Amino acid sequence: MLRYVAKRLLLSLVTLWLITTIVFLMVKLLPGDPARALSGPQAPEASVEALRFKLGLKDPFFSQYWRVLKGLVTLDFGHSWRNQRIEVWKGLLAPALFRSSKLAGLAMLITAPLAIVAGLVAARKRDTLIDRGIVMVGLATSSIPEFVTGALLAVVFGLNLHWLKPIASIPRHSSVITQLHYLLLPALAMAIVYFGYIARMMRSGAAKALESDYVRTATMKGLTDGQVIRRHVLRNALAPTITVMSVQIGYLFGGIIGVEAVTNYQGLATVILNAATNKDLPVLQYAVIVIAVIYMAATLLADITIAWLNPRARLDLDSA
Amino acid sequence: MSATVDTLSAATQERRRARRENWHLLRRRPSFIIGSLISLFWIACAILGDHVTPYNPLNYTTKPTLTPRSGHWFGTDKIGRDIFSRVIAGARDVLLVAPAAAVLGVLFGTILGMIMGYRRGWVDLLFSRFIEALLALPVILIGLLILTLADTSPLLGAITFHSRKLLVIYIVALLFTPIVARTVRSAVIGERELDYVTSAKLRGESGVYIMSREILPNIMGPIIVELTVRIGYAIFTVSTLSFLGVGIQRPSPDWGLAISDGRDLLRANIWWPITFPALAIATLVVGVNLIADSIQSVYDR
Amino acid sequence: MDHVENGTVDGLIASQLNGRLTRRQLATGVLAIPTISALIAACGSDKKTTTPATSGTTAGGTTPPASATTIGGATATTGATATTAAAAPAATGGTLRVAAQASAKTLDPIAMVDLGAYGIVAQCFEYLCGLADNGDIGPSLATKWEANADSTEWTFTLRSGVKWQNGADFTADDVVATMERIVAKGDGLGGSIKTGNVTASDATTVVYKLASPNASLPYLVSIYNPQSAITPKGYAAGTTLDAQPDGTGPWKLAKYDPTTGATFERNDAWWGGKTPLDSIDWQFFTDVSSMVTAMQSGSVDAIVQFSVVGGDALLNDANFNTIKMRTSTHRQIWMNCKTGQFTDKRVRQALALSLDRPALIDTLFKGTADLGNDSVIAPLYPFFDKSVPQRTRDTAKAKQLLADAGFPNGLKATLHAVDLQEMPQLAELIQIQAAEGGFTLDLNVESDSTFYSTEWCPASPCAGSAELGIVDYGHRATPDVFLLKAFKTGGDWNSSEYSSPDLDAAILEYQASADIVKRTAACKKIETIMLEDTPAAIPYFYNYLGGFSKSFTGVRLSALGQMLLDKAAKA
Repeated sequence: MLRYVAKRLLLSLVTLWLITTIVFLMVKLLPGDPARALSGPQAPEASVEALRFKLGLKDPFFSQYWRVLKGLVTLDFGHSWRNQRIEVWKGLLAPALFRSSKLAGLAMLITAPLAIVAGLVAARKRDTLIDRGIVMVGLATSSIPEFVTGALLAVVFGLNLHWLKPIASIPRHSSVITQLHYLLLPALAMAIVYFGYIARMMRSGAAKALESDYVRTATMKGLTDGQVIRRHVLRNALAPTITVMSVQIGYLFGGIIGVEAVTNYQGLATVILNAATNKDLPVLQYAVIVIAVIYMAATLLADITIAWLNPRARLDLDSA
Repeated sequence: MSATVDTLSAATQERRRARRENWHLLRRRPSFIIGSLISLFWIACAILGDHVTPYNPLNYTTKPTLTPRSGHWFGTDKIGRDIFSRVIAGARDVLLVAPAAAVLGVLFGTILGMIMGYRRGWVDLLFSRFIEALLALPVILIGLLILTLADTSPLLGAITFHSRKLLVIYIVALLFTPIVARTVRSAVIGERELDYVTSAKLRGESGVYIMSREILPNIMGPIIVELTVRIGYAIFTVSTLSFLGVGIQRPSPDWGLAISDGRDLLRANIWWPITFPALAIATLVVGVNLIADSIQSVYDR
Repeated sequence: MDHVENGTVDGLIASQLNGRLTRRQLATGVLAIPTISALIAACGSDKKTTTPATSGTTAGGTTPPASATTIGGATATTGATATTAAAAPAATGGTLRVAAQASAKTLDPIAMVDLGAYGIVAQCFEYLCGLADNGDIGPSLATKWEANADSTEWTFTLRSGVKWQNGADFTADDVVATMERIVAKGDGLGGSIKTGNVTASDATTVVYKLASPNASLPYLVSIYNPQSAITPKGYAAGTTLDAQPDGTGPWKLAKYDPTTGATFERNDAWWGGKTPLDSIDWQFFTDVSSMVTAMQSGSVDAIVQFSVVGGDALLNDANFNTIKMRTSTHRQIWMNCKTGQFTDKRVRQALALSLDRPALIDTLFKGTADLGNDSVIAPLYPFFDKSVPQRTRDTAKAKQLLADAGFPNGLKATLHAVDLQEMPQLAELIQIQAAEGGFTLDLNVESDSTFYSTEWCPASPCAGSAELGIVDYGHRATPDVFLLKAFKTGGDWNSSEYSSPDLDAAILEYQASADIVKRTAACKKIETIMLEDTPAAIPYFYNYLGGFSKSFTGVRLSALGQMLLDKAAKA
């Protein structure tokens, strides 16, 4: 087990390095002059040139690259180019990460139990109306882009019924309950989409498990349905479900720019979008790396959890 | 020699028979029927375009933001264009861009995946790491980044003949390549140890021949499934990118763009400019997903 | 009432301007621009806006203690220390939450270009001439100003007893240093001053010696020229407000986050006394629709600017005070006169003739805009000459002009626009309207960071702009900035690369004119030349809309996004 984790961590580092390089190349090769973009159209050319030197844009290619890597290794992300007083980590990424975590956490908290239960019910009542219904709903809701769901929720539940807050601008020093109230709308918009994926994965996993030999043996042995589910089905059905959830984590942090835009919630995705628009390269690079780290950590955690749930999987991992 | 010819044709005949059987099964499934009906409806809209719309979708005809009424079933948008016409016409751009991107992505991904899965070795190792890296990031994010950073590149402009749609097709195709490659690679790895491949190798066939003539036909199943799934994702992705302003551009009646435009009207309880395009996106993706789902269940038997 | 009918107030001001203005009247700033702000604000409540008591006491207004969880790692900020309650008007203390646009660039007072920055900087830094209650300019850091006989020399008397937030005294040296910095790094007040022109004759007197007469100088050093904010003498050029918070104004910058917003706290040492409110919570929004939603759902108390099409709900909201002002805010559809297909003025006229201006105003603003006649002299200016005939749509003539200029089969071009406010829709409408005049236009709508650096004035001074594009201009109390920067030969913002000796001469005549009759005559020349040459099509000047909740009073607003809250209080 330990060998497995160590190997995964090593591979993750390689992946991190690759991502850093890809983003760096993307930013360097695609055009646009960050110094000009930052100084604005009215700035005299002399001051823009001075800015270029200050930001290190005139340094040789590899020296710029090395600086990025060094920053990654020493965890010193430097300062934003747009606003040089603000540190990339402390001033921008950490607060944004905190905000995104709250939203992602709430979204998962709402989705996971609902979807897992729905998947189980669908699997147990296979091919009945309930099953078809759950699959249809899952299919339908996961197709609708979250910015659409978000906007519609805002109108119906925000403006008309006043149950939800259409804009997630949380007043400072709010209590936890107030914060949750504000986050509910964007979290729901995200939950509606992910419900479909998770429920269907759970359903197919549970269906396979229910048909398997050991479950039949267990039922014949006299165990009740509930016990069967708890002891056998869940453990095996959860595995692919947990995998799907972990793969979606990166999306929950970095891919929900539509929801963030509609509810004015400034999470990581908004920071990245702004950094790209403003050509604020340090912020952009390190923000993307943060998302990658989250994704890798989530998938690693998922694999370990699956192994813990299912001893047979552990064997697979050890030999991997 | 004749023995191998017989084996070949027997295998081909077997495949053809299986395909026909699958098709018959498919035709009976209600989800396939419904999905096809929906998709065909939108394809018809895309083909017929402004020949069947009551008004010119690009022209303003009357006052802005009129409520739905006779003559304007879906109301009018911010600058007075008929929304019903724009919803019908909006099918064209997305059904041009998204499937093209999906097909291209599956094409690139299949080629890459086959090379990786068949050759193994350092090619596989290198690209696998690459793919792992790309898959760690949300697809929308990378697409958004590239399209935002590429706003003014003369080189990209030249490659795409200054067509934004072509640029979006390329980028989305590139975004899908890694995941398709990974799927195809697994499929190929599953096949390469089988007898028919070994016998082909013994015969002295080249790698390209083996990959294209022997392995590829046998993995068409997963590839077709992947294609239909990718089309659904492509529609989703293209709509989101258009919503964010980096995909399909004005004055196209594209649905994602229409939703982005109409967003600030919700506050004034003007709900129709976004609701109808939203329903259009939803129904189209559901239709495509239903087809993908049924194909998947038939092939999984 | 929710908003004042502009007719009544305009009438009031027009009658004030009947007849000639004396030089003395000019000196105290009576060359009024009929924009109204506090007047409207006061209308919304039955309490008059009050000046804060100078004894520096307010009803207790501490901010509530921070709860255990803070958002985004922000540390709790405490409000002003509570002092004994005084005979202050109504409920004071508390915080006002403002919904505003984020600044696209840094908060450098000299280099800032967008309304987002203007609003923030105006909380801390002040101007020689500030916003008077009637919307015109009035005393602020300068208490009085006077010109010599031919308006080539202006003397400003500064307010005494003003302190910088870091404790130092405000003196004439600060003004001189600011002006020198504006000459070196900025635009020299539209070119009116050069190095050494501004001197301090004593600690509270500043003298401006101009090379050519300029009767509008006070406007160029007022709140209506945001880049003229007075900064301390040691302030290095390029410093931004958040890097070095300072200022003479009523608010101190307590916290700034370029993504989420800023917090301001009362400046106890402000010369204007103690503000009724303790703090301002200035929140950034990515778009107007979110701001309007926030306003409606009660998450914010004031909104710096919104548009009429999406803001219908606010206009009809009984709990909302709309501040509506006629302005000189406009869009210029510039056409490059030096290179490209629009060098022949007949082509430019053709495009202008293809526009259906009333339809544009109706669709984009529901009628809340003035017609533009392709010149920057907005109808709201008292010296606007009405006798110049208004250009109307004539697609037949447009096609004819195109044929005469060598385009018998029409002209193909790309129309560039920035993705802000109503400009994308304007571009779409122009594409449709121009088609009937023989123009086949492709649209290219870009984000603001790309647009301003590649399509509009990519070099400085302006050269190399696209041949056809739409750019936005915010309100100015006089057209000086528009004329000097956008249309004078060699102007910094002259994207049309237009050069006309006649116009340059007319501009000089305008600047030198000391009374309304002469000024109107100069404007007539300007309007006529611009209509004939059409370096840019200017279809409308639209009204500015902002506002605040009725649970507050005393909010003042300039049409440049500067929301002044020194007199704001809870109702």
